[in-house]
Amino acid sequence: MEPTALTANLRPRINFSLVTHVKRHCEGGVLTIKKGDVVQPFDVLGKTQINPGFFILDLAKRLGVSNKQAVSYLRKPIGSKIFKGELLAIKPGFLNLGNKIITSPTDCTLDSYNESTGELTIKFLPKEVPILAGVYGIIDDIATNNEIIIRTLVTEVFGVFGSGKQRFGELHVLGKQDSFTLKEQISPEMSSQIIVAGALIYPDAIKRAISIGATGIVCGGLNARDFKSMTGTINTNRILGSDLGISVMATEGFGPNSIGEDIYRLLLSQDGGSALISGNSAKLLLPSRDPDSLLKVQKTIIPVSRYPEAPPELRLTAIETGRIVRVIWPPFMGMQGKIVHIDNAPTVLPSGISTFLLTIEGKQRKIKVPFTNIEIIA
Amino acid sequence: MSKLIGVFQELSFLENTPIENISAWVKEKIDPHRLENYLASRLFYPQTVPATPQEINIDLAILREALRVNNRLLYDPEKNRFEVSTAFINRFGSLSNIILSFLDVTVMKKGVVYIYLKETNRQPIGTILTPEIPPDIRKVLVRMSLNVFELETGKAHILEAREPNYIISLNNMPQQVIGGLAGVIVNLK
Repeated sequence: MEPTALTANLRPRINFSLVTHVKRHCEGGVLTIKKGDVVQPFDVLGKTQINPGFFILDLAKRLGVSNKQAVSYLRKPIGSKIFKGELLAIKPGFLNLGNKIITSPTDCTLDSYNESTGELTIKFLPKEVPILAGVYGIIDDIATNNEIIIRTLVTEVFGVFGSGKQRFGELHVLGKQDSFTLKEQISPEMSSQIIVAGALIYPDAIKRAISIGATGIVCGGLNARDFKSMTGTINTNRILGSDLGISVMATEGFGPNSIGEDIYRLLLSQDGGSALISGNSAKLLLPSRDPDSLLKVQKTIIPVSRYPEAPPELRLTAIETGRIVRVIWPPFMGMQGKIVHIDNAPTVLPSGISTFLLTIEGKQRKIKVPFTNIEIIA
Repeated sequence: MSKLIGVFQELSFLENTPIENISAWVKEKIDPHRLENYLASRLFYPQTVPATPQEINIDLAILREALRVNNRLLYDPEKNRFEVSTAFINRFGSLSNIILSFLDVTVMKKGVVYIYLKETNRQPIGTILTPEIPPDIRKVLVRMSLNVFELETGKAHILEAREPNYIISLNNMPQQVIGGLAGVIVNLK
């Protein structure tokens, strides 16, 4: 093969300033808006009751007693309602010194106690919440199940695969782009948030995120085993859609991978803002925070689509010097840079494979990689 | 719009394979999580190539499992032909790697199977010869052209043979074979 014929896949990563539709849900609730209304982020679309999830409390460990004994220290029986700050359990100390006291972290029900693990499952009480628009936009449609379609201006961030339907939340960047997220780092305050979890999130941290009612997770990579448990397969082409109560999106690939520099910088700048994550189409939407965006939205008419979303198509593109690329295989997996040279003759790698190498200039170094081991991003 | 795919696209049926089936063929100990992620990454980025000897060994382990599940990837039993594409050869480093991996997981019938390159398909480029060998024999004497080889049983041996026709003699029993790019593979497994 001559070097001029070399091609690679072009995979979009970020699409700035796009007018598109986003969905907000108000199932079983009462709407306060109608089709054609212009909305702003803090406008109330309606009110609905939500079940914020559940929380696992390691009761036996906190009281310092055996798993079998711990339940006897509860102040209320299993099945009772208990309110924030109320006494949940007490283990008296000697002469009332060194009492171990646990109070309820929130309004909840004492759902069940597991004698083998010493864990108490606490279910948060359903509560009525207003559904805020979260975006500057125009209501284009309202479906029969109170699904509200809003036309708005967004920045689209594309991952590589994921799971889950479109969900809304506040973006929360938890750590660095190469950090690993453990269960202990997920706290109840992250309810309704889209957590940016670094290079990898462990399965018990995902479970914890579901239990506290987080709406989404963005990470650089997902272990194949965990992805399969969400979707039933590791073959991303065969997934029509899956949902386990949270939307998850990987930006780079399988296994631990730092979130790419381009996406991480953008997410950091949007930390604390509204976002919509759709794991099934591996997409994160960052609505514009500029009130003037409404001018562009009003001028752009787009049809309402009822088809399920899909990840963007890859495009076969000629490899040329100057193109910005992302390395998709170790040892430089995830590195981004510009092609500065294309070898004229093939090289035999230590693996025995003969291939053409590209020289890529990144921020900190220059590397040579096989042309098959990159994707073009710009 | 078309996209760049690779040989591993054909192996996507391995998505549900137990990872132990692949790790059994990998000489170096590798954490099962890492191997699962490796396989998933290969299937997700099928166009990528291995850079290191360890990676090509893992890829050949994956190939063995793929051939164990479906040896029709390379072998047509009705026509009794072994067919391989140039893309396959380029991807796994050498034709020898592919043929030996195939023989590691396939019980061949006694006799001759000719090897073809899919792109040309007219002339065989080699032969896999699986002779009848008594069970207690440890070594077999093979004569081909002016060369004599003493080959251990229980293994497959690749003999370089670039000419189109050879008479090969195994323990003084002659057999006609075809040579070429793949050579003559004496399968004593």
